Amino acid sequence: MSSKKVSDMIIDKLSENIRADNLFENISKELTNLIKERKHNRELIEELLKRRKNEDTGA
Amino acid sequence: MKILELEIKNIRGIKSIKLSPQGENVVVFGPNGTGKSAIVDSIDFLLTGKISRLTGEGSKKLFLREHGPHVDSRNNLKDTVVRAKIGIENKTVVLERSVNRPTNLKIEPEGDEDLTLSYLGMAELGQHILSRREILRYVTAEAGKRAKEIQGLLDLTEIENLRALLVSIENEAEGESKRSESNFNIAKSEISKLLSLTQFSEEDMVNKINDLRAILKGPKISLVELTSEKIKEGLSPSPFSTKKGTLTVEEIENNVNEIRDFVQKKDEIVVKESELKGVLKDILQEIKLKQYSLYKKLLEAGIKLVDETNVCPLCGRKWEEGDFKTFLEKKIKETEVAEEKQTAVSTISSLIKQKIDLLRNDVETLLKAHEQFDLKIVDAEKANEFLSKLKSWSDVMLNPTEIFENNKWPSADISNIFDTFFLEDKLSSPLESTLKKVGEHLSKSQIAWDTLTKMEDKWKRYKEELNKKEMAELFRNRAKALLRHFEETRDSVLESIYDAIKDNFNEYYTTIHSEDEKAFSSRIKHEGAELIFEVDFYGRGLFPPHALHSEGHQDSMGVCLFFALNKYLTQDTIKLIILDDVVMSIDRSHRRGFCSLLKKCFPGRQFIITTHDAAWAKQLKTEGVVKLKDMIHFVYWNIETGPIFELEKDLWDRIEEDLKKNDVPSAAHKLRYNAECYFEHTCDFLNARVPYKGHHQWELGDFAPATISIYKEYLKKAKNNFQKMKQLDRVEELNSLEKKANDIINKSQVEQWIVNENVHYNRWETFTREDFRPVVEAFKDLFGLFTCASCQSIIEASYSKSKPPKTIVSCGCGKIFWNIE
Repeated sequence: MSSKKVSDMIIDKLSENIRADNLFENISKELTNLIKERKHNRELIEELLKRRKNEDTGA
Repeated sequence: MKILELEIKNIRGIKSIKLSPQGENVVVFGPNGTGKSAIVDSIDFLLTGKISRLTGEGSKKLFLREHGPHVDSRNNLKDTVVRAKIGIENKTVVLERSVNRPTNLKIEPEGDEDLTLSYLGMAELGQHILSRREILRYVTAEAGKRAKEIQGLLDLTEIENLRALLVSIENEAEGESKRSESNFNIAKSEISKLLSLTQFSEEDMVNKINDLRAILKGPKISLVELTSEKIKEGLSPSPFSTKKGTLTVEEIENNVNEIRDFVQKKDEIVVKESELKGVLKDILQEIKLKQYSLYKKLLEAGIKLVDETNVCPLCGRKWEEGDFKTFLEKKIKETEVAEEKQTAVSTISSLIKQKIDLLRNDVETLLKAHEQFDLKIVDAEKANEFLSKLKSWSDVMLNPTEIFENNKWPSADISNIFDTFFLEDKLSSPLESTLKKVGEHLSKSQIAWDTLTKMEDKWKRYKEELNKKEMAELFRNRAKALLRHFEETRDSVLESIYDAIKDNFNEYYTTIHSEDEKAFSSRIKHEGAELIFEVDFYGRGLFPPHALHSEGHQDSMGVCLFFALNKYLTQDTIKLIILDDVVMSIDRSHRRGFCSLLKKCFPGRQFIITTHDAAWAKQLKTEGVVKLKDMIHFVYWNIETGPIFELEKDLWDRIEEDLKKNDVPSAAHKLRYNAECYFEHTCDFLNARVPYKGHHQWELGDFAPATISIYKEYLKKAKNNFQKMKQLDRVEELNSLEKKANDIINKSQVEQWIVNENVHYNRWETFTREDFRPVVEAFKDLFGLFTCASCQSIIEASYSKSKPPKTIVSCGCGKIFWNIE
């Protein structure tokens, strides 16, 4: 049986669109993980969105 | 997934109950307060670990542990159990859940857990129960509220929470960008004032620094190598070096000049503020201006859909050739105006904010200068009051639309910030007089040294603010893009869902309303935060569902929308649907359509239907939706025992019980009453012609002959048709049926007067059970003529979809199928 929750469908498609946008080049993996894992935490998302493209993540 | 057996102990109003539906449809009926809904709650609890009735709006103080168990079992939660034998994909699984540990679902046998949980995951979407309170909440709700209700049904709460978070992040990013832009401007302005630059540029700044370094005999430095440390590199320290935070004369003079310039040009700000308010007023007066991007998208999509028919794709209105496209193009032009207005708000508010922030910075600088010279002219409280006034205007410009919309715009005139008495008489003039004296004591070298010393900090701040501004721009651009991606994704996913749902919805609704709304259509469209749901009203256009349709029609819409959502979301895998008292406003003839819907569109589903309407329960049986054995009559309820129920007995068994007790009057009454109801149904189902009566009161003597007459007519025509088709075995079959029917009809007509007299003239004392039994047998056989032996539904006349339509007589399972033409 395969059926997806609508919220999963939206989040999967959103992740695809984020990955395809150069603006999120260095953060797309971490950002999509946060969204997919439902870690919808304001501080974490803001921190990622502020990260510069050449910034060392230290990860 | 279907329920084969169900056992409930101490849940809600139920003490103990065992049912055995064996995957078949069930109707639980009885008066209000007999515990019917506790069956629904128990199944809900078993499948999801929650009771929906105890969650959501209005249930703030309701808790599963306290209000889920039977009221006397609250201290013995271990004994509050729902257990069911479930059929899943040809397997039988036993599920058990207790309020004591609601998250712990026992599944037997071992090994089927994954399969079971995958189905239960679907049930957790909340797509298996529809109650009356849920129907109207999204049929009649306002577009914005409906979106929320449907989103609740689609389980989009977390998506909406994410949207709210992204909107909030975007607002924060926009604010941060404005703030950092303003701070960067202040940093530039401070350098300009320190170095007396008419307009800031990095090139002019380096040239000025090199001029000062030349006074101190230092070599030139380039912009590329410019750092805070490089500014005084290679210079001999001044013997009269001043404190680091001390303001230079030039700096103070330039601040004074800038404040005077602001005051002189105060009208510019006043005009800009008035212009800003005008634009905001325009935007908020028309929703289309506020949501211009959505509106533009809608119009652009509309233009693409305009074809030679010139029919509006949304409302179906027909336009004169060319007019429609011209109209849409004009509307698109209007959205461009809206876009300009939105940009104007952003530009004007940023400009005002920057000016105010610069003025505030100048005032703070001059207050420091007053301290530096120990002037003690300005009252600290007055100064703070003035600075707060500037800050509050600056904050207004951070989010002007929201502030204006919420009527929080400052009532005081913005020109008040240019308080000449404070700015000139108290702040600037006293400093100017003081500077005249101080300036005479300083040498050029000293001024150059002091300026470069201050430039070290100013340059550091400039770089920091530039860095922050760039970061804020990146943050704002990403936050905007993320929200845009989110909204576009959500809209496209929801639109595809709503398109699929709309097609199913239309099919279901026209099945119920096949007679009165054949050409029905609807529109389900997501627009921003709203969900537009409109339905056709007899070809006169699309309207909100509660605008023109009756309450019964709205109920139908609610049920159909639920079914359509259910089918889409569960991918047809959850075979169990619970309908808790949902067709109350639907009349009898449309309830027939509802039964057709259940039978035709959901043949493999198990419906558990509760109702307080016994007539509806019986109609479900006569229409062949539920079998007699699956009619559960909740007769009475009390707190000690819970519901007292009985399985609905066959009419003939109940009559026989009366006869065994030699109670002929009761038996006769039952026969008379039920025969009258039965033949009323058959007249309806077979389109029989009942003689018209002015007093609108028909009885068995009207219904039974009309049924028999039309039945004979259909039988004859069906036989002729089979003859034409040369299906001789069917002809033979109908010949035998015709003979049998004639015998039965003759017998019942002979006996019918007895029933009449028996009931109406109270002559029953003279009849014995032996006299009455042949009457019962005759009617039993007569009923059997119009009822399918397999599915127990009454045969029904309908029309085929062929042109011209043909009359068909058939039963629910299709075993009886006669072509009448």
